[in-house]
Amino acid sequence: MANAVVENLALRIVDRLKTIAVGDTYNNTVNRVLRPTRTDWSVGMGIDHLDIILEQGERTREDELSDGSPAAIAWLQSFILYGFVVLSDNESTPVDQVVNDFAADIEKALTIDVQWPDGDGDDHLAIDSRITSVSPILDPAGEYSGCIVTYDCLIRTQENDPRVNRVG
Amino acid sequence: MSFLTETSPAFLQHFGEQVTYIAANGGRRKIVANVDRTLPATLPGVPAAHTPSMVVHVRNSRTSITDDDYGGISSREIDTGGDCIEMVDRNNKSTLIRRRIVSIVSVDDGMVGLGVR
Repeated sequence: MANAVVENLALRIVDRLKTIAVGDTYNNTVNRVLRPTRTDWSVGMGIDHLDIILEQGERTREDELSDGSPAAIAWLQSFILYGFVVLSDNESTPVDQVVNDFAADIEKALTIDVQWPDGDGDDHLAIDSRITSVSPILDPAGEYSGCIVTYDCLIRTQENDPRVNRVG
Repeated sequence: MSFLTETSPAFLQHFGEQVTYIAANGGRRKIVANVDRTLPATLPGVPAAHTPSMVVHVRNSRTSITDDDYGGISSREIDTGGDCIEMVDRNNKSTLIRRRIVSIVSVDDGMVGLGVR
């Protein structure tokens, strides 16, 4: 059985974030891109410098773009990305500067290819996608810092089978 | 020599386990530590994320006053955010996990408590 369309979208976002590596395009190399399992959350997973955690948010129906028979239902799927920065005692660069740089790489990875995740032909998974907010991770103890990037994707699936992509 | 310094090896001998200290500059050495594995807690600033928050107690010195096995980490050499501890993930489990030292939660002449995420 095929994956749900929204699952394929999440996998594609993870794959794209994993391409963040120091070079001509990016300034940082991502450490891990995680979609935590239950045990990851509860016992096994710590956070480390330049980790990204992808969390799936709410999916809301968009009636204006829903039509057809069988019906194609448009959904606005939200993803929340947490980018962590953990700096050494010896780091003299301002924390915000490092966070800004890492956030820029995340934003670039999500938007660098205008065909993604919109894509062409059978491969496109979303009608539209956009970054809706970038906010700081505020840890009162100062153990870590980072950014929270909210990323919304407009998708369309078949009403009676969410595994069928009806973007086209 | 203070009471705290003299008694720290006794705590480690009775309750300690072997962990590896990995310094940010690349050095690593095996030491003995008392590891408090607390229940997962919400990460401040990240409401949906829950991770373990451990406190690792080690002797507040690179060297031991009794034998080399119970040397620890001097509070002066610790780089929070840079150094790591490698340990088993839960008591009596063999899987090794590597976690970053993010804070010093307590310190006295004998022991130093390290916040580990």
